[in-house]
Amino acid sequence: MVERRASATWCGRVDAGRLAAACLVGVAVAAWAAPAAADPAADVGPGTRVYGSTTTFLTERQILDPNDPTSRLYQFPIYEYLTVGADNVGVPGLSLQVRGFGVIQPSHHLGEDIFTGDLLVGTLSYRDPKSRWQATGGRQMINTVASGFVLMDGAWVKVRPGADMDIQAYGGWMPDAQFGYRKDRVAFGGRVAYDPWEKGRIGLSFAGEHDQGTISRATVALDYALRLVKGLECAGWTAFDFRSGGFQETGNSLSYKPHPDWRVSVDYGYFNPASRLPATSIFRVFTSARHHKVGAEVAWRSPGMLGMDFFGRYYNYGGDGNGYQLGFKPTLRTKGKIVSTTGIEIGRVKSATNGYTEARIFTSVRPHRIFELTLDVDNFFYDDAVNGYDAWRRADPNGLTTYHYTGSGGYKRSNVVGLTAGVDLFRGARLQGDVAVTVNPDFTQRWSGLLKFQYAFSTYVK
Amino acid sequence: MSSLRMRRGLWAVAAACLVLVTVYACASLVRREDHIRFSHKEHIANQGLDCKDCHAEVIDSTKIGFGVPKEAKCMECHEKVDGKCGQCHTDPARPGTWADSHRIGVTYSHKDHLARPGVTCATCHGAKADTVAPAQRSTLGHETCMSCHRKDYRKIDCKMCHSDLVENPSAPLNLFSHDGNFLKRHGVLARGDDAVCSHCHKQTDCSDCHNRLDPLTPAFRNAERVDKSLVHRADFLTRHPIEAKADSNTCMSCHSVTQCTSCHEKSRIAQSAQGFDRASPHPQGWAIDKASPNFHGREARRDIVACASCHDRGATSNCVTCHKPGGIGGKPHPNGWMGSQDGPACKACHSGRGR
Repeated sequence: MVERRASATWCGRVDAGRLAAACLVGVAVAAWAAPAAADPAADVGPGTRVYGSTTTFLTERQILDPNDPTSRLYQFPIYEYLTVGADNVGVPGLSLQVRGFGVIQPSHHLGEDIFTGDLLVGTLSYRDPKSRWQATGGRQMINTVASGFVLMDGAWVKVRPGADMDIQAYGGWMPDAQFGYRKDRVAFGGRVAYDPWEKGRIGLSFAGEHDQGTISRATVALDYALRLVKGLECAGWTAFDFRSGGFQETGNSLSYKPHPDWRVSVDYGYFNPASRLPATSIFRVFTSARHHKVGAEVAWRSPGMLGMDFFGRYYNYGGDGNGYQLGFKPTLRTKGKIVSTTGIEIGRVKSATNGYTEARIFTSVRPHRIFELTLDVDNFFYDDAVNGYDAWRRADPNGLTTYHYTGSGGYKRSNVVGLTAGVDLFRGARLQGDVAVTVNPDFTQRWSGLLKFQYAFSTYVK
Repeated sequence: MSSLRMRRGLWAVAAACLVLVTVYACASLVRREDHIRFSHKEHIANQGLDCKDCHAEVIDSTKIGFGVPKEAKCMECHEKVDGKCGQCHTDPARPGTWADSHRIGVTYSHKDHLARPGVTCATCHGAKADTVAPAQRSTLGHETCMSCHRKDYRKIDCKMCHSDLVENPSAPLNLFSHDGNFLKRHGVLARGDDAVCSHCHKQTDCSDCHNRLDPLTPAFRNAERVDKSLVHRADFLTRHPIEAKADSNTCMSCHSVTQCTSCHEKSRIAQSAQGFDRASPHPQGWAIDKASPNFHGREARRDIVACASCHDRGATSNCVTCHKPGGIGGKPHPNGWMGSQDGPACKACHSGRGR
């Protein structure tokens, strides 16, 4: 087993934290230095905006004591999400943002920590008043075609030198599979683009990852977005994997809006998951899923209340067969005295080995401006029995999940009913209760519930 | 079984249709409200009025506003006559006024713009003077402003006009329209250059769904947003092997590859790489080495869902093949086991037998 440098929690991330702090300080120094050369007109800013939010979840989940397969224990974890941020802090263009969470596990913590938590996003960023350059340091997410989503502790810089050119680069430490950090596990990359903005863009990006003494990923990608004529847009990307020397993926979408209420789009994609896997990854479960796909979507929004979405997509897995997905989702929205949204969703997904059909009804009603009620009835019918257990949406993949052995053959459907009731207490604050029940074919019912409180604010200060 | 399933499915669809029809009928009743009849063409072309005759307040204003005059302004020319209310009101019995417009967070001065040479109301409002009915929606789009402000748009100076994009989001309509099933396709648009999104959205908006450190899924945290096509809804853990096999690229559009490994490793059914080409995600000693700290028994009891994510062929193939009297796994129960035989798990082996 590879030795881990530090744990994932905020308490243990020593070196990565220092380096991230150094990045933050670097950006701050650059930001403070920049105003001397800034356009005087830029000092006329909108003022400092301070914002924040807190969301608290009190929930329950049913767990198993590993030493007793028949046990049925209940945990009542409390999740707290906190966001604070400010724009134009001291100088125009300087922003600060922190978002994190904490979990308290007061009862039946079978091998779990009583207190856990982590920093989700923590950035200090600066944007030049004329948008010629900007920089962000700290924990952040990078998303380019070549990199995909990368969560890292590091720095990102973007420069617009003129002539509609756009250059960006990033580098930092990213967590490994168990959210630990090592000195030698780093991500880096960049992108150069011609971006005339209102007509579209074309970019070339590169992403690399280094791990365990080797370059574990090296990808080059081309991305584009063009607005050809009014209502006609196309966008897409193509990525090459230098490690295997082949196509990693491509995705292309052409959409047309013949009328303000209609949008029609077609798409084509190809994906070779093996090329996306880092060379150091042991996980090969997707390697048989190389496929081409062709699809189409139609969306209609009437000026009044009704909207409909249709989509269909065909998959070709080469020698492993074919698959498809189909969907139809009409939605009715009402305004006025009673605000409501009601819809149905009929869906079908078929992979090369198994598939399911979904029939769903959902409704959200505001009988009064401060009250909201929702109902969600979701039914899944599997082609071949699965033994995945009705772990459904309340299951916590990070914790000890419920044990329920369904017997031979698994089961062929899942039925989930959810009901929520919320009330807006005052401006920005909301209290919500949620109860849901899952019924499996054995007619074993599971109940789950949560209480959620959230409050958000945003204000300008002199 | 399949006919029963189909019948239940049809019942579900029928019930859904009934709900839709009922809500539509109720909504139709609720929406029956008064509308104002008004023809710009009649007032300007035929009566010879000018824009400022009714909109003087807006024209002299340095702030953007709704700009529709109050009834008193109409009454300067018209007079209330019983029986003629229907001339302007579609529902004279319950006369209303102009519908409220939502607050627009745009910095704009009619006064300054009209002071520029050659600028008239028609420069932005086009052929408004020829219309014979009030517009159901705003006729001014982003492209109207772009006819002059393209340079500002190009240098991404959004706040020149949009004073607060957080409290009053105003999507650039001719850039990426947030219509249709936008949630599903936003990745295609954002992936090339997420700076497009960051004009209006903070990074916390992305991290609300995409942050791999987050312990709760978006569907869990937003259970009340039933209208949104949030992934990981309702029993997703059961379905995710199917969806991943159908279109793994969809998973990877948000998740990095290591997230698969992460979840499985955290469930202790996979280990970090020692080499580059291991086919099995399980650590050494997983299958039959009871002395190994990696032995699967404890982990299977702890989290059978993680096992089922890949081994979804039912109990017979997964456990009972080995865990049976005479099998390599022996009896599945620990010493001193005193559990009941009533559960469905017990019936896989104990059906028809007594205790």
